[in-house]
Amino acid sequence: MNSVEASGLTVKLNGFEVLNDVNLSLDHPSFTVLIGPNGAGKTTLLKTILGLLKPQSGSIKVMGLDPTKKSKKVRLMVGYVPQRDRISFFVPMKVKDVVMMSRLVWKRPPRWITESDEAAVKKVLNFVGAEELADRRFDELSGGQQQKVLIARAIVSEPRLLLLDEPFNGIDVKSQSEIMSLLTNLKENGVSVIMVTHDVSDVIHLVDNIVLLYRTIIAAGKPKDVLREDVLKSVYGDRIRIYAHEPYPVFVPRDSHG
Amino acid sequence: MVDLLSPFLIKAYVAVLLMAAVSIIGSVSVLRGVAYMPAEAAHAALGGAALGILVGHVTSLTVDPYIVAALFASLTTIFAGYVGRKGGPEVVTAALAGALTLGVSVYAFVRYILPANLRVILDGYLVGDILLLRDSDIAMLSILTIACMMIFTLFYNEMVYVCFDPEGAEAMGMNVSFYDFMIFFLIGLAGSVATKTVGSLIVYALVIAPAITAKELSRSIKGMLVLTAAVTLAAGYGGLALSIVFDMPSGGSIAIVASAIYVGTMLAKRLAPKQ
Repeated sequence: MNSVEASGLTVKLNGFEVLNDVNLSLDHPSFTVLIGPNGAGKTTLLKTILGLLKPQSGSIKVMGLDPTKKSKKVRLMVGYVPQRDRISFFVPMKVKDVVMMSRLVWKRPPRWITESDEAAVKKVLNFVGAEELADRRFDELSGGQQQKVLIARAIVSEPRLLLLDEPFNGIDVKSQSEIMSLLTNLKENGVSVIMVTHDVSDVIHLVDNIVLLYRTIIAAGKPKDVLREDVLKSVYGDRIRIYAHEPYPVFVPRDSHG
Repeated sequence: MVDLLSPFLIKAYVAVLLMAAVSIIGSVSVLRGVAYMPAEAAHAALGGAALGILVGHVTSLTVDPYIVAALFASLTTIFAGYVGRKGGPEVVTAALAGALTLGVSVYAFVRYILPANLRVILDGYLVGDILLLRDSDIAMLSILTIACMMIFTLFYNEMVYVCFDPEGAEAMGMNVSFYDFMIFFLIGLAGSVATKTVGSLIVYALVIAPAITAKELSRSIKGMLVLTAAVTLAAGYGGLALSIVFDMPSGGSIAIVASAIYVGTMLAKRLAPKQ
């Protein structure tokens, strides 16, 4: 089975065509990195996979299901880690409550917490190495700690597919490495991972596929097939610096965040 | 010697209790990043109350001005929330500023054409007097406050999630728009309850200042909610005491105590040794 299969996928936002004729097929389980310049449609593709956006034309299947028709089933199977800057720091939430969110959201109001919920939260915080942070306020954590907590929240409901939108923004190299280790561990346990990032230099050797998106799929496949100077230049033009490096070139987009 | 168990004071004690409950909704407005909204809703309520009194005056209809005030305040916050979802935070601010201007303009116009006896009633919504509440006012405010608190208790988690991470909540399948509008509706109702109790001019002091004070001191959301209610009770009863002892207007006294608690908290935090 494929984790994601898109065919002729076109998505419009406010009348503007953000994705056009996207054709994509990703094995399950696999680790895929989605790259592309700002405005390429990376977040739009993630939201379409989640069923939050409806395609104008074409089709998309997530674990064999149409996310717009089977939205509840798909959302139960998909964990999502949004960009950290979308989260409000006005809310003094404890780490364990942030993770619990993903357990309670599937219950009916008033969504009582059970012992199994507490055990699941404890287990997943232990898995991401953040068990000692359970009673800390989320807004007081470092960027890397926050990202681990958000991953814990996304995986506490045991998804089969994990989507991450720019998890490395504002994160130090050590935390990036720890997060990559977590994600590869998840993949080895049967979870497919799709991660949006601007900087693939440090993760190339750990991922199965790289997808270069710019409104449509420019290139997709093994890192060596995608990270070619001619391919990258065709999308980024002068907005990229490419450094010769074996086995893959290192590239730094000039419009990258963080 | 003041009779501390006089009917006026007992109603005022109950009103402060109701305000403590309503101030919890003020906390939600702080968590949602729209701390100014209850005060704007209160001014919309002022315009609504003015229209309610006017309709009752020029027609034979029996209209409770407070019902119109609550309706105006809730519709204003829901409308601001709706346009804000389309256009962002700046549009919310613009919409609320427009509602404030409209509310105050309607108040000024209606006040000009009302007879003196009705002007007094209308002015009660502007400056308020917690010591002049009638039994029927307390009954109405109690019903609305209990309704607010029931909705809040039932959908507490949803509201917190929508405030914390709307995108993540939507990805998990929550109807974020619905709960966002529920928050705006409650803020409108809370603003109207505060208007009737202490007057629209000092809603900030009794609905928002306690919430902001509590946020500075709290380690968790539940702690913040409890502390907000506690600060409101302290400001309400402290203000009443000040009013009785120094023969000052009750609303203003309450506002002074609430503001003093806020300023004192901020000063204490600033002067406290860094850990």
